[in-house]
Amino acid sequence: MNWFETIKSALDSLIERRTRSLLTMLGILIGIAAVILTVGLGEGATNKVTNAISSLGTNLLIVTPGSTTTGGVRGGLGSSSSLTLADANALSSKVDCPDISQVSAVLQHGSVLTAGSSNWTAPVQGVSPSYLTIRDRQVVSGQAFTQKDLTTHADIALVGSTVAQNLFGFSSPVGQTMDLAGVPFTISGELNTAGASGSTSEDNTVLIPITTAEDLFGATGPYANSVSNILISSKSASSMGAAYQEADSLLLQRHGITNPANADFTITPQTSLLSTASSVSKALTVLLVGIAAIALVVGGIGVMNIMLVSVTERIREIGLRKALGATPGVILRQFLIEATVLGIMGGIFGVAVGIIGAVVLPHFIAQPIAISTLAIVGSVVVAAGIGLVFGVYPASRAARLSPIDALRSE
Amino acid sequence: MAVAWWVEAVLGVARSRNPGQPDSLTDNAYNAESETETVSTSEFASLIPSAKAPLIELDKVSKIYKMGELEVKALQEINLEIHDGEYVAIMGQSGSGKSTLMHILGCLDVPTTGTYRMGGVDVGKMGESELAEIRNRKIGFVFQQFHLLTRLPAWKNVELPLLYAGERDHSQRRRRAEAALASVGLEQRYNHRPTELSGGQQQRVAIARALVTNPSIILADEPTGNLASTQADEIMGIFESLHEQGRTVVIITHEPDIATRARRLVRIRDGQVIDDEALVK
Repeated sequence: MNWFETIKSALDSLIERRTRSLLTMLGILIGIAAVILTVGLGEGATNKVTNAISSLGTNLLIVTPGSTTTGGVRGGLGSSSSLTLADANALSSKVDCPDISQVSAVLQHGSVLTAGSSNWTAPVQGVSPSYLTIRDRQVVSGQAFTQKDLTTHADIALVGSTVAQNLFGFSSPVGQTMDLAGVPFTISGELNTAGASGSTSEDNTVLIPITTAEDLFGATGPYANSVSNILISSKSASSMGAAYQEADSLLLQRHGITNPANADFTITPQTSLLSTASSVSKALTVLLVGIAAIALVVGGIGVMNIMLVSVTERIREIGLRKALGATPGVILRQFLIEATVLGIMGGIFGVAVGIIGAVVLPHFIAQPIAISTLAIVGSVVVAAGIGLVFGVYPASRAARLSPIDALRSE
Repeated sequence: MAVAWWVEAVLGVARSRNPGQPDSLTDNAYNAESETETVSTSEFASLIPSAKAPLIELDKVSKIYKMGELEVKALQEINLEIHDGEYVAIMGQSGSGKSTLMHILGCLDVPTTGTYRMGGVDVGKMGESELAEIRNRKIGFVFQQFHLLTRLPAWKNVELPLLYAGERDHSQRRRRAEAALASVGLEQRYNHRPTELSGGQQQRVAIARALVTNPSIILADEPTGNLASTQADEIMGIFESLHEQGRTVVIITHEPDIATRARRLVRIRDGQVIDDEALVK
């Protein structure tokens, strides 16, 4: 009996018991759909975090004041406000830091914005013109501010789309005036839409010249000219290390610190954020896939169960086929194929349900679900394998039946 | 254990499908148009049948079943020869051992002691796969309960042995199945399912299935046991005509009416042949 005939015969017998076949497939279906969805959720979460971190800009180093390891020790010297505008200007020096391409100090402050009868609260960031390059943001309408606006402490602002919508509805914010901490600001431009980064929306932001920000909410006394953080971009991805070294030694020298362990600032490369974030979501994915795999094994046991029932039920048919000349190998193949077909069909339906779920579910939950080709192909292969493996025992039982006993049974 | 067996079974199939080897088990009675599907030649090279050997030769064949402590001697040193073209009835009451004899004759089981040669080849030394091949090629079974697959139309039931014989050509299989059905008078019933046929017609489908591989022997186990007497008559008529065509027919029965229609009557009691007579017609 050739493969084609064996497969046809196996399909016929599955179709004949279609209700039971479908129910058996359901076990595999659920397992496979669960794998597709969990892998998709994990990948979706990873992509979301990765995109968010990538949207911070390319080749980015973030210098933050203070140090988590030495903060307690150096607290008296005001480690939380140790970075200044002068630090940022020093880092811009092409002589001291040849591998640094752009530098922007950021002074951040939450503020209430009012325009006519509307008001909105958003983080206001004082930045240099290079901020837009470092963070990979564009001005979609109107004008960005320039170095000249920094010199003149101009009262102009760039707004993100969320701010624009909340203050001006659907009319263009460019050229309009809004009140920020009691000072009227002219909106010179609107930023492109960038999406969320972690918990904060990049679109709910207002950018003003850093000098203006210093005037508005800069600290006085010993903390004068301190900034929230300094963003640095290196010339290329490969010069990240060099840029890191240059920034580190320059800041240590400027702050008069000889032991690097006592540094009152932290430099975090964007790539380390990326790898931390993606390793967390990968661990989560592995956990979820593990749970889904248990569902698959349960589905496989379902296949074995139903195949055993099928062998018992068709014991006379098996006996007859043997009497007519079916070798144990042929009987074995027939049942293995039936079990494998159950697995494959369950897998295919599972993939279909998984894909539908991946498309429909994100409308109801705030999580993107990626559709992974690898997971789809892998699932069908695994489903077929499960059918095959869990089919071995029932099939070998069928193949070993003595034709006399099988024919005699009623 | 199961896996080792599985590997062996699959390898066994692969081995028996080696098309390069001559078919030592095929004698001239076997239809040569079927493709070669051989049993490993080396094991049987010395056993190629001589032309004069009886078709069936039982030499002191015993079959002992062990049921726990108890040993049941179903067959005790039976000697029996059946020649090509004979029409034999094996008669005995239930428990006489006639079913066991039928299983051994049909290669569904092997003797505990003694030798069974079919066409000169010792069947007792064969493994599962070789026995399956013998059953497929040399023996056509007809059962009391018909044993038809109810989901398949008549011609597909008849086609089954050809599938196991490795006939790959679909139209050829169908042609041969229909020819076998026509030979038992079911020209109009090729596509009927067993449930749409009368008992007598079902048994005729089963006979067509037994004939389709052109076997050396037709082995019928109580073929009329489930039939009304007029239908039983029809079936016995078919066996009669098969015999007239020169086929070897062995009928196992407990009914004297049926047994006496054969040309030779072998009586079995307590696992032994108690009488073996030719019936003159």
